Amino acid sequence: MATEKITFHQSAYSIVLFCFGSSVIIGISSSANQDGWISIILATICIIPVFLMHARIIKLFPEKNYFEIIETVLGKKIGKIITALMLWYSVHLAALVLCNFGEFIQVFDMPETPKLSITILMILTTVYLARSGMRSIGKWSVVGICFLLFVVLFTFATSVHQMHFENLLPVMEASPSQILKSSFEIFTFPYGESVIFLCVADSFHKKDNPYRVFFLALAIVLPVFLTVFIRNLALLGLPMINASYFPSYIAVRIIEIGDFFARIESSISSNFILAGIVKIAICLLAASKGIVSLFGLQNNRVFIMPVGMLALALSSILYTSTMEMFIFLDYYMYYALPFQIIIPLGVWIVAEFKRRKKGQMINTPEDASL
Amino acid sequence: MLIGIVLFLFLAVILYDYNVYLNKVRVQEKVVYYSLMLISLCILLLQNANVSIPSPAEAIINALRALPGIQ
Repeated sequence: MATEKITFHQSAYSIVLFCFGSSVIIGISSSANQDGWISIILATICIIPVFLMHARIIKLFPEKNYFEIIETVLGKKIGKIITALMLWYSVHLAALVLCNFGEFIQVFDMPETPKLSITILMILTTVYLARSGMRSIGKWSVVGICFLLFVVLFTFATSVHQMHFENLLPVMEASPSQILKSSFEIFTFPYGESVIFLCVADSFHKKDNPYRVFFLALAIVLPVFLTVFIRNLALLGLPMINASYFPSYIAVRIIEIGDFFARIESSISSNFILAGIVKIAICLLAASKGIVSLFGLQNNRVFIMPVGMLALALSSILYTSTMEMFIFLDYYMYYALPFQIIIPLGVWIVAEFKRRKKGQMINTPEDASL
Repeated sequence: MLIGIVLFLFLAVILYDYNVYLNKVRVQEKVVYYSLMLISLCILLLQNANVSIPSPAEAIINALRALPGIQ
């Protein structure tokens, strides 16, 4: 199956937009209260070994996707089971982002419009993008990241005069266990979700260093997350952040410059659409590759629409209210852990073990024997 | 109204896909394609006909709560 390749920067920017996906709008976890910035830094440090592991897996099996790697490493039977699990996670993640999008638009923009009609438009757009291929997603990411960074910097710069930096104090008021729990939340959502990128790793150029791709992405994501967190906290204060479901939107809503420049919150919606589309499109692409691998088929592009429709159906039954959606987030970190850490760790360990046992490079024609 | 939207969506999507993709693929691929579409259509139709479908999120939460140490 011939796969489109994306450039080094396109790969890194897609990971960045993927990480921003819904977290741009839902906001970064605030269970550590004003010490959330410590949690963000801690989660970033903790995700480094995971990104190293992802990069190592890609390095061991260049130009192969996760499902092919799983089958090569774990064999056909176990491979199919793990593929089915990862396929479920991809579709579920797409449905979750779709649901966030539907809830957000319904709560803030179109309260009378049924959520289904909003999510239908979103899924058709993402299916179109996913069917256009990874190269189109990469190009979209390059444009998207410029806009996203501009909006984050612009909203920060224009709101500095309204910020109350004392909201960041006192430092370390949250207990270490609270900070660690919050780090764990950020670790799984959004950082850990980048495991989906392994499923489209066949789009990475062999000559591009995957370690550098992941580290460039992390180098962009960390400052942006910190900026967004500090902006929201300094503008809204802790009680308001804890009371609102979509703090970024509320924070930007109150920005005012003189008497003529206000109501720039639509820029936050645009950010969410730009990043959310990338996230859903990559999940759909991953799921379609999973279907191809699971059933031994050939053309993954055919299955992007059915998995899109499956994600649409799933998003319509996931939650009955916005509150339920946020309750699920409390459990998400435990639910996502096997997909984000345990499975890739198992694949990596077995791959390394087999490679050493064979005493030769894994990406040789003898691959099949592994 | 929503049921009409869902039926129209699926009809349009299948017609489009049939012309662009499905006429060139093997039978196995068609079977998988139509099975997935049928599952999605059934869920959406039932949901919009006010038939309560158990949420996977609830099942996941209940399963996790059964594990020790998770409240």
